[in-house]
Amino acid sequence: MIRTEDLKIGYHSPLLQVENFTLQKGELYFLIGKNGSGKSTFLKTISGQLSPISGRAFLNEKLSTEIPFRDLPKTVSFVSSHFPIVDFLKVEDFIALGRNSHTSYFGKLQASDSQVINSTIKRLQISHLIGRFTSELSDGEKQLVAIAKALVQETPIILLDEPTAFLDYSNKTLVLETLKRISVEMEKCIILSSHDLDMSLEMNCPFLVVNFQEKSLQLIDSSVSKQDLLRIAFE
Amino acid sequence: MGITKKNSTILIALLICIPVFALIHLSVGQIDISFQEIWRALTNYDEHFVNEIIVSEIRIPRLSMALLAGASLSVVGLLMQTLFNNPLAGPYVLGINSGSSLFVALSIMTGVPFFASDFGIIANALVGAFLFGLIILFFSRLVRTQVALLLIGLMLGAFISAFVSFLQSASDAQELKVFTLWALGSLQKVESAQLPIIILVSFIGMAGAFLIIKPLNILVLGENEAKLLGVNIKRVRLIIISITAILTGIITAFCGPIAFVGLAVPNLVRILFKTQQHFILISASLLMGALFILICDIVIQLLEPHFLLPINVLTSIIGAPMVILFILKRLK
Amino acid sequence: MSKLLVLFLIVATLFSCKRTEKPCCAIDVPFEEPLLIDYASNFELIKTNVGYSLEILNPENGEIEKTYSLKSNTEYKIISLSATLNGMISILNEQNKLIGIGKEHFIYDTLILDNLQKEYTQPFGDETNISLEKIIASNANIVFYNGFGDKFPNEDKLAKLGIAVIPIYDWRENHPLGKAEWIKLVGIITGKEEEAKAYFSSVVEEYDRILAITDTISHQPTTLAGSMFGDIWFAPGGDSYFATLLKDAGANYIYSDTKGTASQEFSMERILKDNIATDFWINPTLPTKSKLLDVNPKAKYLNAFNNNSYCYSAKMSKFWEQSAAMPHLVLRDLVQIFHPEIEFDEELYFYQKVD
Repeated sequence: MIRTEDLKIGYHSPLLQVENFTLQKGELYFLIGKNGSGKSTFLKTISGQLSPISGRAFLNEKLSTEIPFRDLPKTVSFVSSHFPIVDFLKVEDFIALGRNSHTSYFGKLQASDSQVINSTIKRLQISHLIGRFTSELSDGEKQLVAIAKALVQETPIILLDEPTAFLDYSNKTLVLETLKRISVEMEKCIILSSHDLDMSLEMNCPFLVVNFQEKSLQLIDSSVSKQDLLRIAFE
Repeated sequence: MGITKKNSTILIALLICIPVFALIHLSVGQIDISFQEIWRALTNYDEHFVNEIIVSEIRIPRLSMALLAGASLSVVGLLMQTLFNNPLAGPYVLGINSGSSLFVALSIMTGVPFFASDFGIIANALVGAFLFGLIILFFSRLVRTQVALLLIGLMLGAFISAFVSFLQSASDAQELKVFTLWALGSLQKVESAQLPIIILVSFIGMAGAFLIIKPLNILVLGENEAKLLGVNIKRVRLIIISITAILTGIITAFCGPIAFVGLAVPNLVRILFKTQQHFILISASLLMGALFILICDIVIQLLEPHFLLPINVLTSIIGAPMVILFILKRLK
Repeated sequence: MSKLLVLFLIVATLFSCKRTEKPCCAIDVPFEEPLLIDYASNFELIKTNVGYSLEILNPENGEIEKTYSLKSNTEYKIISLSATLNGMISILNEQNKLIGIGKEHFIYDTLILDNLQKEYTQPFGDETNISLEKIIASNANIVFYNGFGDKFPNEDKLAKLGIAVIPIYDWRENHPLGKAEWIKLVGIITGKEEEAKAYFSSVVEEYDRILAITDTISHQPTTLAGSMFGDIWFAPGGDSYFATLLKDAGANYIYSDTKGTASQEFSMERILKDNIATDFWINPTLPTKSKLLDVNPKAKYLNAFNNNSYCYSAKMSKFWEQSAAMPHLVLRDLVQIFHPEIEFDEELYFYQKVD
């Protein structure tokens, strides 16, 4: 689903060398690394907000830089670490905005759009939030609603920037388990960045680790030990 | 999605209020004019009756300008608030009005007759509004907080009015007079013959706003989110600034500055309608803005026997405290 | 050297001022007979042992607002922000005593313009932001300004320096001859008392002669006066000198029943309702129809706009400067305008038809 070829990423100068790897659909990947090591840079490059310095990334077998601006939201969806602060924005209206690239000129929802939205809401078990304003939700609820918006985009790839950063333990588990379930059930390729090593290890998922010494991003199997992970990422 | 029952009820109520208050507006004034006379002036206009001339040449243009100015400025305010993600934005506080004024002043003072013609004034007002829209857009990229942008806008406005005063003191007496009058802000200067062009231009602007409801809906999430959802931000920004220039320009060209309407009305609308769907927000701002100025002007007409109050003064008296309230609510 | 002189003069005037301020030391003793003021109601002149005592009366209530001692042995150097007074100074040929004026483009008299050119006379600008230091540096000892009810900026400081600041209420007179009579004050200040009196008598005579002509008129055309500023139409009050002029010229002024000498305010609606058929429109303040329409497009519905509107001439400064001292010429113009059937040898002096 995501394939890299000699990819170098960074803002103006190279920050990370990305190993050549292929990320599969139906998998949840944990993106691990120190603060400022380049996790967000990687997510931004994959989501098309940032051009690679050199090398290539293929999304769904298409070269990332050649995907037209309008089609990108149909390929990659992105959940940013900050939930937008907006007054008077209803949960269902917020989620519906994810359908943007599917709806017609005036953005009117068709039956098919409503169906996708409803099934997503059901799948995430957030029907009880319908009718409430996003500004009134708890952090955990906000995260689920943001994931719902990404899901209704119906993209094969979903990226999440620190989705568990502000959550308490039970909400963290809920969000991560939901994501894991979705990746399997809906055959999505999901990458989420996180600080939380223990939590990530519990989930039994493959890792994308920023090797701080070598300035490289490596794909590591889920069977990796905590010590190894710590050594690669944080020493 | 979809419009809630409560919101459609308020919209319909506004829609009914406008013709009712429009009739009240037509019938108040220093001269007593009966409904029959108003009706005759509307349906079977005869230039030989003074009261019918007053209805058709004074009250109807004044009513039309009240409606158009209120609707246009409120829609502009809403668009700017969404564009800048800042509920304190508006054409007056961000200096778009002043930019328009500056260009009109400059052009009147050059003494070139074309610039003093209707078309010249409209063209200059539009260009001025567009240019200052771009300037504010530039500053909005540099500052982080909502109040900072407001301050820059106010400073820009203050700078321009100082500059215009300077121009006035350097200019010839008669030209100065034409401009000073224009700078007062008035709904009464428009002639019935000018109404078609004003209506046409402001309808184009308002229709333009309805054409971009989809990107506007997404823009409330911030520019970054909007980009990720496939919105062409640069193009939308340019469209919004163009609509702002058209609407602010046309109203400023014919009415001079009218303060705070663009800022206050969309905020009221959001509080009342509790939604971020721009189809509702634009429709409601349009109706509520029109109604707001309409009622202001009725109050002015009722006060006329005692003292003559410029529209800009009344909107400031009502609008400025509202802005303070909004700021207090924001910063708390 | 000149700075020293300025300093000396300031100190000297400070002392001279101190003396007049204390009542115990006042040496102005009024004589029995006051100088006869026949028409003006906003000032009084009373002869004293040192010259004259000038009383400026408040136009609202007629009470004494300020009193000044005008000494006959003083050489006055004048700053005048009042066009009326500038005109009167010109009539008495005392332009050289005028060392300061308001704005250059309001000046009509060629000699004053020459003096401005030579920088003998200096422009001081608006009274609202006039420079205190410039006044002091100019050595002026008397300042005239148009009284609009506000205090002159820094009036008290100037008084302490011995500079008299005098409000001019000529525009609040209710008779044009009262407005013209202010020339008597100018006469005293410039030392041309007798010439001023003689000039005023000739004006009164000429005014009465023209007035007598209109006595025989039976038809009185209706007239409107004033113009729109913003959304407000300012028209002369029914008791104002201009309303008197209109009446004396044999016209029926629409708002002659309004009270007061100050301007009346009307909405355009009221103006249209009252004046749709009015015959004449006087003083629209702009000399061409196109400019008038720029300022007030609704003017085109006024009958008078199309046929019979008369503005004082394109060179407005002429009217502002001269009309107060020449009410007979204003009257003659107005009679010619309202009554073309009466034949005059002269052309219109101030007025021209708006075209």
